[in-house]
Amino acid sequence: MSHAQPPADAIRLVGEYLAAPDPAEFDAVALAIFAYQFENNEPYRRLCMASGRDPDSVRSWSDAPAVPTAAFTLAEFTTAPWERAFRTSGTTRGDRGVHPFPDDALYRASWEPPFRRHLMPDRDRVRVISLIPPEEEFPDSSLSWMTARVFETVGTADSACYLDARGLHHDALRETLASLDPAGDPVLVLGTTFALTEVLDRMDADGARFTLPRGSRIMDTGGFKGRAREMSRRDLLLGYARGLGVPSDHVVGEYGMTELSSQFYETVLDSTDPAKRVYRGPDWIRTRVLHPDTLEHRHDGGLGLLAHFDLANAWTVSAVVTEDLGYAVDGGFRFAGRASEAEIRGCSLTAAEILGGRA
Amino acid sequence: LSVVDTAGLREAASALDDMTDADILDGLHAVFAAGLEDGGWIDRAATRLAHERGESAAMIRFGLRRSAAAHLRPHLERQWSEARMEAARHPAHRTQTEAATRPAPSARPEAAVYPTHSAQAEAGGRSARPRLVLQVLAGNVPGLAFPAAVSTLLARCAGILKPARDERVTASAFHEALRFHAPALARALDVRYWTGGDSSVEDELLAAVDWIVVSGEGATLEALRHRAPGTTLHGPRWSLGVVGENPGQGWAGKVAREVCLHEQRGCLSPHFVFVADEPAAAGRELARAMAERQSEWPAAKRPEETSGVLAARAAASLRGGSVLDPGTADWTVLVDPDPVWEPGPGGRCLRVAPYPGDTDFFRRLRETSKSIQVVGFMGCDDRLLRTATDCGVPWVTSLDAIQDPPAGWRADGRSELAELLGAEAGDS
Repeated sequence: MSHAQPPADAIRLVGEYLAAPDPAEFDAVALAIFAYQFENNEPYRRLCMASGRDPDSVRSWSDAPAVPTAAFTLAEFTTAPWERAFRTSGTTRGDRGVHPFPDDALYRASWEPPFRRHLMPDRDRVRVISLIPPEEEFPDSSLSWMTARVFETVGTADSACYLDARGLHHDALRETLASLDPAGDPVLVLGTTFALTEVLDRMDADGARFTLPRGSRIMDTGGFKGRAREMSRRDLLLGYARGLGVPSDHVVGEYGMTELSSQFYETVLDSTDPAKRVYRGPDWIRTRVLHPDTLEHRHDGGLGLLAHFDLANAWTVSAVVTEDLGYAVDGGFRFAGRASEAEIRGCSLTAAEILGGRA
Repeated sequence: LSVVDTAGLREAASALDDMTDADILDGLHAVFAAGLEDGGWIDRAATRLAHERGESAAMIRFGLRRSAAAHLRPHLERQWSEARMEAARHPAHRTQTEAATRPAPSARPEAAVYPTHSAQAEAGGRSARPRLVLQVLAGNVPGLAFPAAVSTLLARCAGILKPARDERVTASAFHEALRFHAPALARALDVRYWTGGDSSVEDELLAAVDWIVVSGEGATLEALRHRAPGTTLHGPRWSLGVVGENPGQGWAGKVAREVCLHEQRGCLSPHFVFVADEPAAAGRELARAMAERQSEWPAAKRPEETSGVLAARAAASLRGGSVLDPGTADWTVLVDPDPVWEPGPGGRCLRVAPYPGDTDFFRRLRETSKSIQVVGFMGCDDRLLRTATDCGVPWVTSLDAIQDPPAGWRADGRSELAELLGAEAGDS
């Protein structure tokens, strides 16, 4: 018996869900997309068969075998021919994971609502100060792609990027920051932790301090392990407050990865209790914390591996188990770091490569 | 770390000169023999360490007892005489340039340079003969303090043992036992822990020692490479096994024991075995043995290793192999028709592959010998063992004792004791 719907139907179903999410329907859509991926994604089917699971035995999104993110370096998980792909930034072994996109409509549909909810709950447009290298230079970076869409969709005309393949344009950045009127319109600073830390270090070296306009916010994508001097989250938040005048309740952590189409954000700007700092995803992604020993869904709030089911990954594989550790909490999860043997998460590596000489 | 009495340690090292070989050997033997008594210091250390590391007490006890047994008097005597002969043949009192031109042994890893003792020591105005050795111990395997202390004391050096953060028990337990059974030797040892890389501590200490012995990753080795007149550096390596056509009764249980011991950490842990028989059948037998071993030595809980295990399982499936596991992350047997020659993720993950034939096997072994520590054979012709040795593998042994090195074995193809003695011989 074949459970697969024709591709257009399964993909269309996900598209409709993203447009008008109904959590009660999540499982039904998830099962449809799992069946579609099982039928049309050969390497995924092989992994499913190896674990003895198929559309007959998978009764819920959480039953679908999850593909380790490392496996994206070993096979092309796609259900259809593709021309465009995002790639991970590479590992110390030199291999790069690939996330193909036969069509980017779902990706386009998935990034904006959660971004607006968590970073722009109070406004439609904002001046963007980006420390993420541009899409033109890094066309296979998912973060650069998303940043380009941010510029197009919510950025004002004076938005600008201050990091590219040549490095950090510190003088220009300093000039921009100095020109901002503390009583003026707020700005949005986007960056990896690596790049943001580099900026703070340069400012420290220069003895510079800025106070960004009230209401300004920082989106910090995380990731600098093993690449730069590491700072605790608390020290980072203090650094942003001291160096840029952005308080911790306006610093939003973003959690995403090349292998997923959707992003999670810390509930800060849209929360009545910003100190909780919980990562929350959109309605089309669900997360399990897997017990690191039993590999069972952990319900006791203990530490485990984060595994996601992202409907927006319809063209590839929706069930992905990461190399990240975390805890399930009410409304989302708390990120507890990378498994020690895991490679640096992609986003920050680009910045690290660019800034490597000075890191 | 000014509390380390380096002058006192140097005095204690000089006092070792007045002891006979027999005195030193007897002292060391007494400590290990006492440790092997039921409920002795080793059993107590194992219990404490198991609690601290979340590992099986039975497993740690087995590993520590095995190591202690390898350091009893007959083994120490052999270590001592072999090292002396080697030191006489190849005094290590040489510069890096001289070392680079030295022909054998071929297994010397690139990362490990031969001692640079003479030139730097003389430039620094210190005695060319090493008397104070800093042993920076890895924490992945319990009991690494034993061979470190033994080499140091047999060379009549004083030693500072710096344990790793998660294995501070056995170095202290050994030192305490030494104080009781051989106080003169104990005076020549100090056990100190500090956070690695803390320059406020290390600068003073490194300036005071004559020799550093360190195991670790590239960054650690680089950081310490030129910090003392002499260095013995051990980089990361891994091990593998070959199971021939006649491995004997219970072979799978013995292999499983060696895989699980120390949670597959350390350079002696086998990461895959090549089998002469049908790999699927061998894999099933090994899986049964791994399950039995799990009931005796429950796997430690290491969340950070699980993602690597899951990735290895997926990789094997994608390559057309089969995955045998208990449905948890406790252990894994991957029957992999074409494995990549590299270490697995740890976490009791064993790859099983068909033996590719002598020509291919030894070609690959030669290509990777610089990253391999041991090849263990079981049920194979002795000819294979000799050929593996010729390929430059530091140690070739029986697979069922792959994690049971003899006293004074040549880690990375280097004898720590012979190097210390060689420096001494070159100076005398």
